Amino acid sequence: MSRSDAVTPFSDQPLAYSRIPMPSLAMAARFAIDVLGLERSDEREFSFRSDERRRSIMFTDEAAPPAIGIALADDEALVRLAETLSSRHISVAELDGEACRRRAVRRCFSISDPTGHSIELVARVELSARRFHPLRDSGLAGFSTVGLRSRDIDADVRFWCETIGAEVADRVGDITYLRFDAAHHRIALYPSDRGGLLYASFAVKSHDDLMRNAYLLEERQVRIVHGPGLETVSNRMFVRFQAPDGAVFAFEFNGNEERGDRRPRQFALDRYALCAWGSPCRDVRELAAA
Amino acid sequence: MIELIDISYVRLGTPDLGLAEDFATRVLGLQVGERGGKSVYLRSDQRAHTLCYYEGDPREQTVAFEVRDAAALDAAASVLESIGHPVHRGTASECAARKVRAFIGFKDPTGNSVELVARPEMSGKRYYGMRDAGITGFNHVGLNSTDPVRDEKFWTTVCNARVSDRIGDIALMRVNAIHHTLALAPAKGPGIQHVNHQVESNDDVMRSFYHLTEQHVPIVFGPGRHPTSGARFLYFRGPNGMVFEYSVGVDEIQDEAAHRPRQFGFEPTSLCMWGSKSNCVPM
Repeated sequence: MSRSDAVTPFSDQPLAYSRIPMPSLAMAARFAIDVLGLERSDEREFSFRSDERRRSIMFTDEAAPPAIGIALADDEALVRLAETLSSRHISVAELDGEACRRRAVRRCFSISDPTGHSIELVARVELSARRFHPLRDSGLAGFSTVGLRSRDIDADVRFWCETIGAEVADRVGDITYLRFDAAHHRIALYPSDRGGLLYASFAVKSHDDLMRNAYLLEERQVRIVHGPGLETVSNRMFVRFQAPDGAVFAFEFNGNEERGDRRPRQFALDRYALCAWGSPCRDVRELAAA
Repeated sequence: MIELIDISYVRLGTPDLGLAEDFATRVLGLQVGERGGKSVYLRSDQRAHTLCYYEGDPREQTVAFEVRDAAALDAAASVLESIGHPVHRGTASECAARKVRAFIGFKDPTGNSVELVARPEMSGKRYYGMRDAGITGFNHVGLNSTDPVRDEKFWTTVCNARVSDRIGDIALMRVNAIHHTLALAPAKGPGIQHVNHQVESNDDVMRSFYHLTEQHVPIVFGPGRHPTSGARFLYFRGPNGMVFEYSVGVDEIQDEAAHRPRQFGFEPTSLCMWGSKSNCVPM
């Protein structure tokens, strides 16, 4: 039974936002506008839109931990999950009104995964009534996927699947792709010696948009670390690149996406299992095939 | 008017036949159909050959187009002779060397060697490339032109080509529904500017991009997308400096009567709408 058919606790956009610490917020903002093609949602805060949502990327002070927001279908599902977590002795902290306002959500519970990432479970993600219109013709269709480093793949996968309710979509070596809705995956876990956000990826509307963005990155001398490529398990086109501080972002085109209605496959970890076109990955250990 | 039906083959002289065959098979992905003493016939589709390398001067570059039959060939010869283009009628052994029933050879206004052929051979064997390049067949050439305006006139009035689009004064011309079978490239002298083979999908273009890069084959343009034909493409350099192209998704022009050629400015985005820059067309 495909993920979209089952009664899932998640909203139709399960990956709500990412809060990303940056050494220079001003530089991050310029990168967001000029390179990522986001739209600033608030002049006073470093938050950005990538589609109809009010905020999908928030840059925070370097000291703050990175966080990702997972949207539940409604308040009932959120409270039910929070209670389940508490009953399993997982520490759950409800965030106050001001914290929710900053995240453009109505309710938020914060927990940690085994690796130590800050996972924020939210309900009622706010949309903006104004159409998304960035300064650059980026063809963006919205913040879509994250890669997370995992210090203990087995523990993290158990947490996401047995506790949160995701499913394993496919595996490449120990790299595990997690499904929450009809999309092939929303979170990819990469074995690593440390935690943290590996990449934040934005969907674009077409194959042309993906390639135009790739050449724009080259022209702006942004360091491309992987791609343009075709993610083998998902059949998504991608290009992954580095912001000046080293944070990795990506564009993806998922128009021909592999949607699951089958058991997860296991691929051996090699270059072609990460990119069907054979693009090599530079500089990112977790993405460089053995 | 000379009725060209389709493009047929390319003949290239080369000082090193072994090197050329190695590139054509292992890198480009063609299949050896036959080897002669001093030539190799390469296949890309159902035709008996679409590329022939022969021992000779690499400046000898010939493109051939198919006409309907021997009568059409004779008519073409008369037309060409009447406008002052000397015609060479192929001898029996020259025809055999080209795997055609009959042909004539002449020079276009730039001095390019062109052959018109009747009854080019097909093969009963399926094409199967040594390398998984996804090739579906030889599709078109870029042809050097020392005067694109003059040459466009030749191909569209003496022959039946129609202009599909222009980039500056460069005409992209069709002889059937395929957006272009002949593209003029500004140059200082005659020659084939590039040889195009179609591939099955954009995945094939991209796989080849990474594979050829790894094999240290010079990539001269792309991967990109032509705004004129809509095709996704990759250009790379082979033996003797010849440029080869893979592409997929060339538009077809179905409504002959209604089609108006578009004018694109002579600038990089007219050749690639994604932003890649060419090292093989001077801009």
